[in-house]
Amino acid sequence: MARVALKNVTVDYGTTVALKNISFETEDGEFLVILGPAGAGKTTTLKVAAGLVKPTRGRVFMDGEDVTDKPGNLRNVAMTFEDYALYPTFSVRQNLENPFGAMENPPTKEEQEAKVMEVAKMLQIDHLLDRRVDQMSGGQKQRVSLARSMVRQPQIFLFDEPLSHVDAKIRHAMRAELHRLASAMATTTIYVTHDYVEALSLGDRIIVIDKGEIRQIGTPHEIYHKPSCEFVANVVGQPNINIYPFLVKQENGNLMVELKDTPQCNFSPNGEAGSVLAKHVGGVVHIGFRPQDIRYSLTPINSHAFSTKIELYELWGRRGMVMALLGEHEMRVLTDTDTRIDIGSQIWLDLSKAPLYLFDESGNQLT
Amino acid sequence: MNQTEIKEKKNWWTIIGANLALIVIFAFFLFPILWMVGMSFKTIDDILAWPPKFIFTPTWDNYRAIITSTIEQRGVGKIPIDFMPSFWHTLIISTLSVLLSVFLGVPAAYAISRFKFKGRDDISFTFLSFRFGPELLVIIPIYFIFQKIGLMGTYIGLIWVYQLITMPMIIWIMKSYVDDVPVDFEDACVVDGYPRWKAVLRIVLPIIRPGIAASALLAFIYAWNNFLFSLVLGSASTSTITLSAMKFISAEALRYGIMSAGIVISFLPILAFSVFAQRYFVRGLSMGAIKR
Repeated sequence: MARVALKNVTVDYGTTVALKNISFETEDGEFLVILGPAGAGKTTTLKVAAGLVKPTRGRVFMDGEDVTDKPGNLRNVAMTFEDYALYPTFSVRQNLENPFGAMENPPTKEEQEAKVMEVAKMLQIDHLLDRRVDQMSGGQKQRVSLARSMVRQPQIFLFDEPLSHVDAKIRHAMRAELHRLASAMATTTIYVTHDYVEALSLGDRIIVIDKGEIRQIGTPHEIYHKPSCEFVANVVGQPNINIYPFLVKQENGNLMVELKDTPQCNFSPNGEAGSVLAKHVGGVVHIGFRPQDIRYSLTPINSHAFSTKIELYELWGRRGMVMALLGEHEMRVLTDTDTRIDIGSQIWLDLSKAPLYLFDESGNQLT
Repeated sequence: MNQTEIKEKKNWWTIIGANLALIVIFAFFLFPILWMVGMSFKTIDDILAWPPKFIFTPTWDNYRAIITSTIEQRGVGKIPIDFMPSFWHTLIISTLSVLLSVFLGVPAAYAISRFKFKGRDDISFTFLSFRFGPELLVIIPIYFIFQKIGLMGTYIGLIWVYQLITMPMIIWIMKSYVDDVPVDFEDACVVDGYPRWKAVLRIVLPIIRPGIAASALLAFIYAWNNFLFSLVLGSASTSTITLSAMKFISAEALRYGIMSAGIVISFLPILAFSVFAQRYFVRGLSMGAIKR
């Protein structure tokens, strides 16, 4: 177990900057998830922690010791790679035994075999040990790659998109499995993913990263409910959050927000959001609505409801998604599937009851 | 006739057609070689007979002459020839040249493929230019240099200049093989606890072994067939088979039979090497473990 810290790390790949001044620290035994889109610098962050990429600037610490100049083989970290990186000329067993060969005081042959068997049983690959790695499915390769990282006791685990190539059904089971393994081993883990469901369900804390910069560090609850900026709000949630510019007005003593360029779409916010918005009367704020928070009806409901036409409807199994125009903006609304919804028919949307996500015009959280 | 029968019938015709075409192609390309092998077992009278003789009594005389290094000729006595020594010279020079090129070229290819350093592209281009520059271009300066430093007609001198032939081939072929090996393999092995150089030997080297076999074979063939370098920079003590084979064309006789026997012997090493290297040619070992 160990604490890992990156302090002001910048990685410069010649012309492109992969990481810009990244700083974070893990707790001992923490499960930390790095979430971000492709090309955000997630893998580079892991490789810096593993000692495979040397930061251009900044330092890396493990348990307070500066390990920036320590090569990867001396750091005692275990890492899985997005493409598994199983050695193609080795059998599965040889792949799993590979870390023993590098140890100064390796366990005895019997202990090695016992350990390989134990890990293989745990990940249900014990019947595959004598296979060649190209004779396995993606899910099996994935488990072999996890097993290889688990045959020894590393200081930290680094997982690079371990579930991205696994098909949806296995992914669900593996996610639960990983959760169980992580809490059983209580080893500090940094887990990279682009899937917000994985991030929210696995992470003790989440780092949201974009274009080489950290956007927010927080618990899953904070990331989902208090996104620091529009980018973070967009990363978590499916379908994406709806964010539109609104004018904040004071009418007859009542606080009103009105969709920019579409005055008939308005409502009066209350509660916490209302008191924040009261500070911005006369200005423009960006307000976000999660698609599942919007009240909708196919018949007129109340005077606040905004009437519009259904442009698109997708059935997603348990849920459906309606796309409707809000002025010139597209709005996504999650619906139940028990009512029949026709494209082109009218829908009434009531925004006033939805929890509001408030951002300023440059996209930062409004407080 | 149902659908599958039609399909099967069509398949039969395609198979027969394809094989016939292959036989024609093979006959066209292999006929000169087969004829030469035939000539090596013929007497000079059989060789010069018209119409050509397809059925003849084979003789070992040509091979005996090559291996004992003497031609016995009625009325003239024994004429010495130096084919077998040349065979050994060529074997030594070609083998050592290729070995040296593999030992230096594979690490060089790895470096060019993996590391970013100043002048990398210039260096790789320079290596490539050795291949498309004609040997004649460099032979005169090398001749003078070798004379000055006493490398004329030595094994070391020839092995050295043969690097011009063998090294670029190995570096360029091996570079593309190393390019194909994902860096993640090495990184994974480093994370497993091995220093980088051990990771390369342990993981990368076995993956690129087919490439080493293929490029070494190609380099060996080029070295084996080289004529100009050994003609200009060699001496009697290092003379190669390409030179000796030419000596069979002399003012007094054209010894077709012995020449053929010599050529048959001279392509045996390449044949043996090809058979040995063939099992490494199966590429695609590295594919499948990594998803792209």
